[in-house]
Amino acid sequence: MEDAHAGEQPVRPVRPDEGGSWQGPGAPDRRRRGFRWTTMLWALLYPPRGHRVYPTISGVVLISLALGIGTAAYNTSNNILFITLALLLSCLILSGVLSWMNLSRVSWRFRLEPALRAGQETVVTLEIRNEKRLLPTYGLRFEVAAEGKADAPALCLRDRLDPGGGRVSLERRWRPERRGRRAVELVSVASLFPFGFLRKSFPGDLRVEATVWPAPVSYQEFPVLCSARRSAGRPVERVGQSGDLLALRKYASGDSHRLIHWKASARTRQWLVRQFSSEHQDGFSIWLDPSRDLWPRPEQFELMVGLVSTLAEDLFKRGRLGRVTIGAEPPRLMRRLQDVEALLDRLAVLEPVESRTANESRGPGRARSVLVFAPEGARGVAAYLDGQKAATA
Amino acid sequence: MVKKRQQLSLDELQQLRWALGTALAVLSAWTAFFLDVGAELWIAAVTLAGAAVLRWPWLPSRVPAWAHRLAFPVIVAVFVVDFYASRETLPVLVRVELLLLVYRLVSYRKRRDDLQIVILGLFLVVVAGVLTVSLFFAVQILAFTACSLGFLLLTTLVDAGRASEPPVVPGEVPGWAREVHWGRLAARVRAAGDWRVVALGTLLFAGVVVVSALLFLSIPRFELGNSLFLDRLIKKQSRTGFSDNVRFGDVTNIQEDERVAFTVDLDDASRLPGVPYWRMVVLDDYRDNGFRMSPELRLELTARLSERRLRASGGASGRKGDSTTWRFYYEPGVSRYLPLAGGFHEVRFNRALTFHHQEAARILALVTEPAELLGFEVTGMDTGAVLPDAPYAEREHGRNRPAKPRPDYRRLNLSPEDRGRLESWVAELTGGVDLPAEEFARRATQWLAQRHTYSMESALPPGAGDPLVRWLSSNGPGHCEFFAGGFALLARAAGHPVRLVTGFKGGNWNAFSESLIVRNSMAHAWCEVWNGRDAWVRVDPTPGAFSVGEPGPEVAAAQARGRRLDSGWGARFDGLRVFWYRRVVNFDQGTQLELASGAKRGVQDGIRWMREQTAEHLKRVEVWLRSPWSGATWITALVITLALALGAWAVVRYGRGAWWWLITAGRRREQGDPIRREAGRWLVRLEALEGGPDPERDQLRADLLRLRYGQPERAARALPVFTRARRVTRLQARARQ
Repeated sequence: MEDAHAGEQPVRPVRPDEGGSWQGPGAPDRRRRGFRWTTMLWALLYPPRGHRVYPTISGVVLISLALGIGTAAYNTSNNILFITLALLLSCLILSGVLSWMNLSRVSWRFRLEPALRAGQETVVTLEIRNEKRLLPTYGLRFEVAAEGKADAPALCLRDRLDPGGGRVSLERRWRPERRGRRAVELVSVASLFPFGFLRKSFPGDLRVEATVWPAPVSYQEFPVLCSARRSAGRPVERVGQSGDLLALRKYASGDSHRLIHWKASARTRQWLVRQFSSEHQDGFSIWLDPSRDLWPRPEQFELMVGLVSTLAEDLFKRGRLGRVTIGAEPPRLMRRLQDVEALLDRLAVLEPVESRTANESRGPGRARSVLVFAPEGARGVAAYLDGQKAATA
Repeated sequence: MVKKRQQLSLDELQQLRWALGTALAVLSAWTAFFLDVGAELWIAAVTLAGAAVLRWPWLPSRVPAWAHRLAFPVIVAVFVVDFYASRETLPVLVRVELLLLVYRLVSYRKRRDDLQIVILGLFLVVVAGVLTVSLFFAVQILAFTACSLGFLLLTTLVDAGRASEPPVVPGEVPGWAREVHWGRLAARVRAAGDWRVVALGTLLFAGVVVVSALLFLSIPRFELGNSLFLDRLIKKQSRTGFSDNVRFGDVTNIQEDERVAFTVDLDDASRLPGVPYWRMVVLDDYRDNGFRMSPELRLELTARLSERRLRASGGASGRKGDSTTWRFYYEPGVSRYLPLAGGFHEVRFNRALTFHHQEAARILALVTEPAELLGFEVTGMDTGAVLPDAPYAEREHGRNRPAKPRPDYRRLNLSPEDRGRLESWVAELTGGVDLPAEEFARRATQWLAQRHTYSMESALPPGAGDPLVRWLSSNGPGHCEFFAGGFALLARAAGHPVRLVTGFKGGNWNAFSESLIVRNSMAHAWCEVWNGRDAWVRVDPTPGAFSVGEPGPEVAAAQARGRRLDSGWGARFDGLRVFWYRRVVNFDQGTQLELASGAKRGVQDGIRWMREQTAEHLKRVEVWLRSPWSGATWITALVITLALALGAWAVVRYGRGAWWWLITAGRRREQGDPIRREAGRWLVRLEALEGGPDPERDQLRADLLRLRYGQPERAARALPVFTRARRVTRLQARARQ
């Protein structure tokens, strides 16, 4: 069984310092392409897609003045008027040159705070860099759209951006509405610099997709969840490092290097780690069935996903989360924080699947301490532990 | 570590914008000085308002709200009243503009108000430039452009620095205006500025000027033949006395004015007479204490009206076949009569004009006085002192009896007493003999010089009777008007037709521009007496001139040698002005075509020269190849072949990169110094280290900077520094761990 995102790249939130590559006129890939006069001249005649130049009120006045003075100059052959016309036209040219210089070798990229959650406010940072040697950059306006909506005010570069690699960060607050892969996009970059005659606008060419985890939900916890069997002895943060040695198993991401069985790994030419009995002694397993038959209502499905993610986090914090199984996917061992993050990444993009095959519909079978989820009423969701209600949301 | 430059705050940018906007308003208001529209009061108001709001930027908050509400109706009312009173459009417009500037200065401005200041200023500068065509216009427009661009740049930066434009609340002082210290702000601007950016800005502005000049030269021109509309919006008053009614003292008043009246630029300087007389107005009627143009002569002048013409034909009065072109740049405010040395073949104007032409009297007069500089070219101009007048000769000899009344050049409107006194003086100087006109003129001028001296401080003696007769009877000093008027009366009393002519005499030769500069101080009056045969002969009775008719060759040569040469900074400035007139003001389609064909010729000549040079060099190579080859020849040929092969291989291998490799070879050599490179690397590592002040590290940084950017050092002196750098960085790294 495959969900809608099965074919995509691995799902993970954007970490700090990896908010996307630099884009813009000063981006490294553009600089590698180099400057060509022919390209620039051609761009003047036939602007690239999305590049727009609008006259502002000052620009309209200037153009009207130039037209009026030009008409008067031709009508009267007066050279003073021709001088004025020439000055006005060269000021327009200067305006274009300065605007081009202002934008050249400037690049930008997004930086997103990690662990985006639906319904929780986060900060989208647009980092701008000026790689020019001499000239600062002024007055850029960035229109940022999150989740396809550009309703927030544009980000403005208010201060001078110094040359020589000067950087500045502009921040915008964003509250993701829903879980999933959400895009933050730089819709356009605009500038009125230098004289405010023309508003030059061009596409930002910058789009970052971030994974938004499900929103945490409040749930009611029943005693069965609290009083379930706990293993004797000292509770440990990380399961699987104590108890009797059961077997060897394949290395999984997050396993400690100390668990690696070097001899067996060398013999079999694959990484093998020691598996202890404590891996299965304590904690709960979560079994999640995303079938559309079980969850016909989308809002109930969303609530279920939120409850699963919240329960998983809470149980992990208590050190009582063993493994999580989603539908027909292989079970996920919850040993380290990264495992929980990977689970939340998966839950972020989880969608109802069409039907349950006989194999899938088996459920957790005879396994114990397994939390399963089922609709409760028209809106609610309940978690059952070994047939007893453990939590409701 | 690169020191971070300071940033100006939004308030400081606002203060700069306020200062620059005020300066722009005052600068543009001052251009109205050149317009002579009676706006001195408003100019002073703009200046005072500008100074006040700069000194006390909170001042506009004291303007009550009702004043802002009433501002627009008041300005409109002032415009209406002023227009009703003066009936002149342009001066009223200028005055209202100045009033608007005052209002904008004493109120806090929003972006649109800033834009209004720029537009109002541009209007003032352009109108002043168009009407005066002065060289100052170039300075004004450049200063205005620089100031406006800086102002608009600041406005854009201010707008970029704030989310939205705050509303202007009357009575409330904006934050930026509460505490302004211009000295402190200047220091902050210095600290925040980078001289390299300022230098680049200056360079870019110079580029704007160059591009403007190129655009000015290359914008296609068409001769539409329309006149300037601004002419009709202003009534220009002559600042000189060159009208058809000259009272005694008018010409003398002009002589105190040292401003340039007109400039003459001619192809062949040898055609310039020793002392040129520039005729403007002919006055034939003496009455009411002055000479004036009689109604008959005025009728002859106005009988022929040429409307909106670019050319005026001089008929038979000029010298046909004379290709010398005289270019006149006639300043505004002199007169509607054009200065001409005599008859002409053709006059071409720089724009279509309406004018009168009286061929016999050689008068060319525009209908209205030009409000701006007038350029015109004269060909076939006769500079002689004898002006043939066939119609008058026919009249004098009784062959032609005119149907209409004609000017009477013998008329004396004097009382019998005054007439008797004149006749007695005529008898005294002629001995009772009827002398030919030229001889009479010589004796009369001598007689006048014996009785009167020349002085600018002259006055008519008091008493009864005609004032000029009173002066003749006295021994008091006189100036050109008295001498010319006195001579005219004497000649008429003797029965010779005579007329008084006013205009300019002489001119200073400017060696820088190679042109003749005629100033208002050279205004003059002289006479033309009928020679009894066929022509009018120039007589200048003023002491110092004593000329009757054409001067002899020796006299003319002496006069040419004695012509005053202008030198010094004043002459340089005049030369600049002539350059402005020749190359800018007078630039037209013809000049543009000449320029284009000159550029084309230059390119063609260059290509021809290159071809010739190439052919010559190829021929030399051919000769060298054909001559018997020695060992040295073989070696040279081998080296050349190898060099060419290497070059060809580089081009094929690297393409355009080969050219880049060659161009940057010098720079690469500079960058290729391993010691500098190594010092740069250590500097970067040193910058990455953190920590408090460390004298050893500072010394090391100084040494590395010296190696990186100072004089080239030998490796033996550089290596110990690098060893030290290595030790310091290791110690720091360990300390950090």
